[in-house]
Amino acid sequence: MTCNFPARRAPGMMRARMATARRMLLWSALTGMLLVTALSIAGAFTGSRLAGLLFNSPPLAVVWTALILLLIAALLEVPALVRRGGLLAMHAGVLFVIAGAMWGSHAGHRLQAALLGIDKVADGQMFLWAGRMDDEILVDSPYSDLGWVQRLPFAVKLERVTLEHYPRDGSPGAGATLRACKSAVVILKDGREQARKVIQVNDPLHWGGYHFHQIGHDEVGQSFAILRVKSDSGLYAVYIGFVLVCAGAVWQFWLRPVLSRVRKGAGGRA
Amino acid sequence: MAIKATMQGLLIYAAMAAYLLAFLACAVRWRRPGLALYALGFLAAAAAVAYRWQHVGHVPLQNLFEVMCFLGMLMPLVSLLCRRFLGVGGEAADMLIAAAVLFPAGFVFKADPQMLPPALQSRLFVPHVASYMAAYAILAKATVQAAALLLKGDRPGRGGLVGREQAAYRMICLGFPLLTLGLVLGAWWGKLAWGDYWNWDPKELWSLASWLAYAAYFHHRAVSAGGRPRLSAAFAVAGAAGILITLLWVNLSRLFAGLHAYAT
Repeated sequence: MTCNFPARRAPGMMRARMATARRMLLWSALTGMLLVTALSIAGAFTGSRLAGLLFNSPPLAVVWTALILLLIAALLEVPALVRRGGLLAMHAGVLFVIAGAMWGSHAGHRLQAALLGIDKVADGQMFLWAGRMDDEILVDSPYSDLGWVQRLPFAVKLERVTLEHYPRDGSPGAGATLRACKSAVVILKDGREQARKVIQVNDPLHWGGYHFHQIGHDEVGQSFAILRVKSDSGLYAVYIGFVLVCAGAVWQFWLRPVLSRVRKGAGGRA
Repeated sequence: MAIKATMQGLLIYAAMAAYLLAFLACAVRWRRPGLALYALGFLAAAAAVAYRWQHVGHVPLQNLFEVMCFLGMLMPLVSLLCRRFLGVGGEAADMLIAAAVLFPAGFVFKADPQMLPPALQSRLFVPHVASYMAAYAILAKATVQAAALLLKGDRPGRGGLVGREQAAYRMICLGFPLLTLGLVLGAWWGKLAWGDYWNWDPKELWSLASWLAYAAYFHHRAVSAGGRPRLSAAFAVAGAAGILITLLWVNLSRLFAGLHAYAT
């Protein structure tokens, strides 16, 4: 067996130093994981609003950045993470998810505006009256019950809202359960129609870098709808990360052992 | 606490009785009759799930009652899979787990059929919940091995079966991709239904904490090169505790009302 180790002198010492570096990376990873776990549990007790604030706060931005750097260092330093496709996919996937989520956060949008001049609303709500159009988005302040208004570079028109209910079960006084709420919306720019879709829960409209989600409606008169308007910045990085993490886990933990067993079995019989 | 004097209830009680008798038979070393009773229990639990499916007209994974019935049906399949392919035994504990998960379905949770609200009408509904349930059943069995390892230390395998450390590791390897799939499918569904793939909802945060505990298990196992198996086992047990809280506490406690609240 040949050894193509670059250092001629004391390769054993170099190897030991690399092993120490890998161990330190692993311990740092473990520490990072336990920190995020502890914060998640704390966040679960405080409720989603405070948890969102906590995880989007400047100290956490430092933690997320540190985790990204740690993942990059691990991919560079630990050959097994690159050699084994499953491990590579899982670690790269987590990297994509964290980076994409940071890019898509409120702070990420401020960064986009400062660096690239992209002026997008990160997340907000539209209250639309049937038959009218609007371009105003209400952005909730994370710090108080107040909010502010931002404008989209196009208008959204709500043509109509339709509610569908399950048939009543006959018990008196029981309200019929909502089955579907459908909002027919049209996107207009400079007075011209750009897109049109009947949106409902689980079926948003994607246009102009935003997703429009059905999140609320008028219980009685079917006269208005509430849409959540969410920027798609960073979303595809997160989706790529999701696919990588899942595919990596399935490959590393299921297919790889099964394939090696099949190969061993074939080798044994031959 | 209420007894369900319906066909649905009777099937659940029959399955529970068969699982408990199977456990008792195994406890007095009547292995074959025990396994036969376990198989009978599985048939009764499968009948309970099929009956429910036919009754409500959608895959019965919507609320805790349905989910617990499903878990009770899944457990014998997990036992079979683990013995056949992973060399992991310990069916007696699985019988107890199966009876234990059916208990709340039989006596605690209401079985009133519910109509699906708009958020639950999604193609991702069944894959998301089914991945999680399969992961939970496998990881519950892994927890028994991990807890035994934590309390009593490792034991060499015998009779064609592997030792505790290997048993826990193999089952966590089997369950972890399912846990990952459940989490990711949930995030994707959350994006479509609520507008964001992550909403900092308590149930989401507990499920992330459980996932991270298992990820930490793998990393600790790698860093210690199998040197401190009890500490690795502690991570696995912590992950299971996180799962239990994700599954029950967040749904039951009014303190943590969140987006997943309809699943009570």
